[in-house]
Amino acid sequence: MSGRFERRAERLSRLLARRTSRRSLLGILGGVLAGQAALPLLPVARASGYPGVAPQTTGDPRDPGDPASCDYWRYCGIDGFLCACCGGTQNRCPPGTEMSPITWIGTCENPADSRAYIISYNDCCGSEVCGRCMCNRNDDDRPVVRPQRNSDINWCLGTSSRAYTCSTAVILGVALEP
Amino acid sequence: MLAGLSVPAPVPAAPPLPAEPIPAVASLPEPTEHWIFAHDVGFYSLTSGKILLIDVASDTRNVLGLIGAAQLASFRRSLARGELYVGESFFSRGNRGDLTDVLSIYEGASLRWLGEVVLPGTKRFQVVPQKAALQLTGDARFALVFNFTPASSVTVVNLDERRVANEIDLPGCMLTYPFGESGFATLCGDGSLRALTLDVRGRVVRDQRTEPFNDIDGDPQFMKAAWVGRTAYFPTFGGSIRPLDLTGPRPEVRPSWPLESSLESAPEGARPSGWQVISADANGLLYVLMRTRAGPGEHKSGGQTVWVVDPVRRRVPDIIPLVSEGYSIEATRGEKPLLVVTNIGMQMDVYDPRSHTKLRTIGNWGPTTPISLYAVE
Repeated sequence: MSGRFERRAERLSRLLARRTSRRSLLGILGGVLAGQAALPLLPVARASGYPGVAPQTTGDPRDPGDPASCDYWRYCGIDGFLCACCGGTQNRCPPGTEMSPITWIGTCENPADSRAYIISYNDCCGSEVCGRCMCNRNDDDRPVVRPQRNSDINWCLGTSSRAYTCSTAVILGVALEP
Repeated sequence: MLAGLSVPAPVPAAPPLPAEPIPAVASLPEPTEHWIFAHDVGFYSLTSGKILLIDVASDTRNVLGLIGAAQLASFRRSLARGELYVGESFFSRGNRGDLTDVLSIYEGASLRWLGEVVLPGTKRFQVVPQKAALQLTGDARFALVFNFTPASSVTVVNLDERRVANEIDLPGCMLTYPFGESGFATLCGDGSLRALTLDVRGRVVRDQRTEPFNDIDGDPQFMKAAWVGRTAYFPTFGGSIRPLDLTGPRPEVRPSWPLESSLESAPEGARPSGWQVISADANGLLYVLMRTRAGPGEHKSGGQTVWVVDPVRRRVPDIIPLVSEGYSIEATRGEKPLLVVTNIGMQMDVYDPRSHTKLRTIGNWGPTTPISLYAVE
């Protein structure tokens, strides 16, 4: 994957996010706007927390919730194993892995400030499958005929390894003020 | 003493059990119409997925054998060639190192590995297993391995010669579906379908494109289809069925119709939901996995009922309630089909679709995730 494509994809995604009207955003509150990340996987309820997984906090009251839980606000379009349960965090890969530069951008509402944030669902690649904290939320998922909106794909593309490990949810910025 | 336990009395007159040969390997029985190949993607260890061969009608020894299927593999069986094909990928050091994509070839009658074709470019599409990621042309001359880098293309493998014959770029289009005797169709991001015809060397000799019909933003088709003859029936997120007649020489897009329209009182808000959400039997009936009160984003959640659909009369003659919520379904292809349901617990429930009776559950296979099911034709 060339860097040029990555930059173009990111520009496109940002442009899309900027041009999305308030009305269309309200129509999908809490849903993904422009894409998904990672592997899809099994149907897993959006439960709070997982058995055998210690809860976490970000330590920042502006970023509420448990990053080791599928109902954490940023995960509105995630699909895979949560890196926060695998030695990474909600926005960092586990040690020794590589973050995929190809990302799909979602928009999630932060309940702390009611702002819609642009979220980038970067996969972490190069180690074994973590297998912990499977989270699958398909709010605005589309069939793979539209790959930029589909989570069934192994997005470890453009990395030195195609081995999928886990998924993150990184804030790129605010999409719309409330 | 173990009061109450009955211990079988020894049989003093019987001769002892004989010594048994080593090594010893079981043979596959003759295929039946109730065999299913179940693709375990191995979500919890992607380098070690597998294809299980299961006799879903048997009350004993259901699992007949297995072959490997590594790194989000794809699978296809050829009845005409008596072979099994696995599109898969291997790292040179197990979980790291150089990646090699191959089309692995197995003998169907023995599950013995016969050979492989190395696929160039390490571009094989790694996706949650689905039938359209690896197809055969109608004449079984070519295997079609879909690629995604994220540029789309298809690698055409000549199965007679076991070598790559061609690679065809498919910009903006995804996956392949057999078209005519020697071609394939692909679904495109603008909602259209492209249909290509190949010559005996795998070169494109005809390239057709329909008008857009797939409302990807509003009511998209699933990418999974059930085939009756050369017509592929696709469900949509909203619960319609769209037939695409891929007999050739031209692709024909037939009008879609909503499943609920033929029911006087349909379950509330039922929509197709799950992974492999549609199948067909040899009698031409469709089976669609449906979720009651399905909300937005629940198209992969799984369903509580399977709707039996007569696609000719556009009727839903029966609704089968599932004991456990289903994730993927497949009908066996005999005259009296069985309905196989991988439930959301990843166990395989087998139903008699006529009586709605659950006949058996096949499972206890650890983290196995058999979500892509292939009935034996």
